[in-house]
Amino acid sequence: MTTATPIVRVSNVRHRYRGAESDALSGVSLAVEAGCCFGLLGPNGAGKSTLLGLLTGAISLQDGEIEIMGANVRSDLSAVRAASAIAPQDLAFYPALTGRENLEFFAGVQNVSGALRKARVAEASAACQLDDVLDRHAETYSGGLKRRLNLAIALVGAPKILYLDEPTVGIDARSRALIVETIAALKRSGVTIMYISHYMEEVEALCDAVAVIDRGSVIALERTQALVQRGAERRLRVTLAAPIADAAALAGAAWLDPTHFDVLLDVDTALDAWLAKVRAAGGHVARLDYGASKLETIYLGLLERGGDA
Amino acid sequence: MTALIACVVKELRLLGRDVHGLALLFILPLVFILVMSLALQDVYAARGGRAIDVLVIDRDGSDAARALTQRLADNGAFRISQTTPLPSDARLKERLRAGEFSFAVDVSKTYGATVLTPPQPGAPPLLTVIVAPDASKQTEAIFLGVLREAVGRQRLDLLLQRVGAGGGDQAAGKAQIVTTYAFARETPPTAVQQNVPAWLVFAIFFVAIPFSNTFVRERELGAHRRLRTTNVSPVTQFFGKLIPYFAINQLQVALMLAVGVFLVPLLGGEALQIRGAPEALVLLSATVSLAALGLALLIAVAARTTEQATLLSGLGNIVLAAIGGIMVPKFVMPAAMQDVAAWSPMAWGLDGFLDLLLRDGDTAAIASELLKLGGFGAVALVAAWLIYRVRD
Repeated sequence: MTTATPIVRVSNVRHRYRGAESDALSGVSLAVEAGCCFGLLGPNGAGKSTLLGLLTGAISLQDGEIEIMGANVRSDLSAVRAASAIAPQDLAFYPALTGRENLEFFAGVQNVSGALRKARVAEASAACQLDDVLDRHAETYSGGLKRRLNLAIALVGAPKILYLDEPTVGIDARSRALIVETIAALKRSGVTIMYISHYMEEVEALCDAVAVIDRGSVIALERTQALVQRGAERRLRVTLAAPIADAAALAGAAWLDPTHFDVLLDVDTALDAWLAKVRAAGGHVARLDYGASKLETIYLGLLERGGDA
Repeated sequence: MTALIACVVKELRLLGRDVHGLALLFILPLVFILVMSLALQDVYAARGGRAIDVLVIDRDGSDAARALTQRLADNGAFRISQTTPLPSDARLKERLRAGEFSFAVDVSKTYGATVLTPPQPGAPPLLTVIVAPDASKQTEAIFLGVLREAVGRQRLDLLLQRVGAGGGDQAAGKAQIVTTYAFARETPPTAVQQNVPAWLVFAIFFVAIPFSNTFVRERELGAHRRLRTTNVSPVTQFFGKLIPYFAINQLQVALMLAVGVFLVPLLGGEALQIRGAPEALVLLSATVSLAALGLALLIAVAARTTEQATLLSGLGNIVLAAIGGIMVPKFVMPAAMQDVAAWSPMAWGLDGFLDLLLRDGDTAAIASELLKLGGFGAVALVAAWLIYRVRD
């Protein structure tokens, strides 16, 4: 995806861990528009966290180029780090400290001091609704509060770019909704967000664009809306009343189970032809879904077909 | 500077909430100092050449009896006490059992009159020696030998006087004996002089346990990874950890010395005398801390889990203490073990403190210890940095 004003530009990045037999990332290129929320999707081990590591400078870049707000990760890492912050997937704070002490510490290490630090701590706490528990030790927090503190810590440096690695994993629906709401508010305030999640409804609701990474390569890079539309136009899901004896007769069908299959239609008129094929194979159609889709379905389809949506 | 202050404050807060770590750093060495200083003070005192206490019960009061008492006192190895009125047998036994005296010498009423008379069957003995229960056989044999020599010389002097040859130079009759030492003779430390610096050095090195644990736990928590995405440098993070523990070390030194000076005497032990140059003491304390923190950081970066960190730092410290003269004083070790002890940084620290506390040393006197400790600390810090960079 090419954007007019990319704030993050990744060009042909390759990375291989020491001792590994294959690349964790291979020829990855993408660009992220300033002020947008960019979803990074992919199965576990696809290379998403490696890419975040490279973007934040936590992992050294081997091949390719990465520029953040015009600053090269290799030559101007300090500027790159000053512009961004990450809320990692693993909770990354000190349980023995209070929420306030954690926020003060992470503000302090970014050289934020005095009145500005107080203001930043107050803002981050308010944004993540932690005010009531701020002086409690973090180890006493619930799972949802811990996730919110993990996010708040990323905000105390007032980053221009925020990397969120599964910020809602393992928490209750209410806390999830609160975090999603906070992220939406950050996006509205102009913060560029790179968002990793396995919750497709969150990605669909928040992200303007997505990249799907599988086995270290980008297999799709598109605006979310366009991706959903494209998948929706072409996919037909057929639910049969009962399994049919000769499933092989339906060539081109992607079977989900014995009574469900998907098929990608070249043109809308192909619908009649497929219904006829089902009847000819002895099948009875119980339900048809065509013309409406969800990101999750498209995502799974992409992974299955290696990017050929 | 803001980042460094933030790191220092965070570390102090974490340490302040680590009750077990604080107990390990302050309570454990304090208990060791008190127990060892009080329990072993007699052992150290005997080795240090403390005079043996002897009670003389002079039932005669003659010039000869008084002269015998004086001869024993002149020996220098005994501290003579005399008692009037004469104690009962029960009271005497009680005082010997209490450890007030190692021996009591009962001088008979007829000592002066019969000292030159050959022993008669059935006559009362000239002297009766009563031995305390804790006096060793070796000490008893030495004391009896000295006593026999004193009576023998007294008889000889009296005989010489009788034949008109007495009253000459007392020293002329003594064999001329010159004492030389195979090695430089040092004053052995007392229990408090040995144990306060020994357990103080041990406590300083023991920071490796809480230090390495908080370091590894930070890595396990993911906080370390988050910090790597910020502009705070590893050097700032290292100093953010080292500075609080350096301050803790200095607090340990002040507290342990204060215990030796004030608390040990209150509990019946000998007070620690702080002699030597104060600036040398400060310098030594800082250098021991540098060595200890270098080792702690090396263990912290080498260990992958808190279990490994605890094992490496705990076991490492105990081994260094065992061979370094902390648990067993170096002066009681055989020569081969003393050679091994020379490789322990704890031994260098202890030697430095003993030079200051025992031998009134100054900075020049502890220069070799300072160099060894400083060198060890520097090498450990560089090694820790290299391992950190490679693993990073």
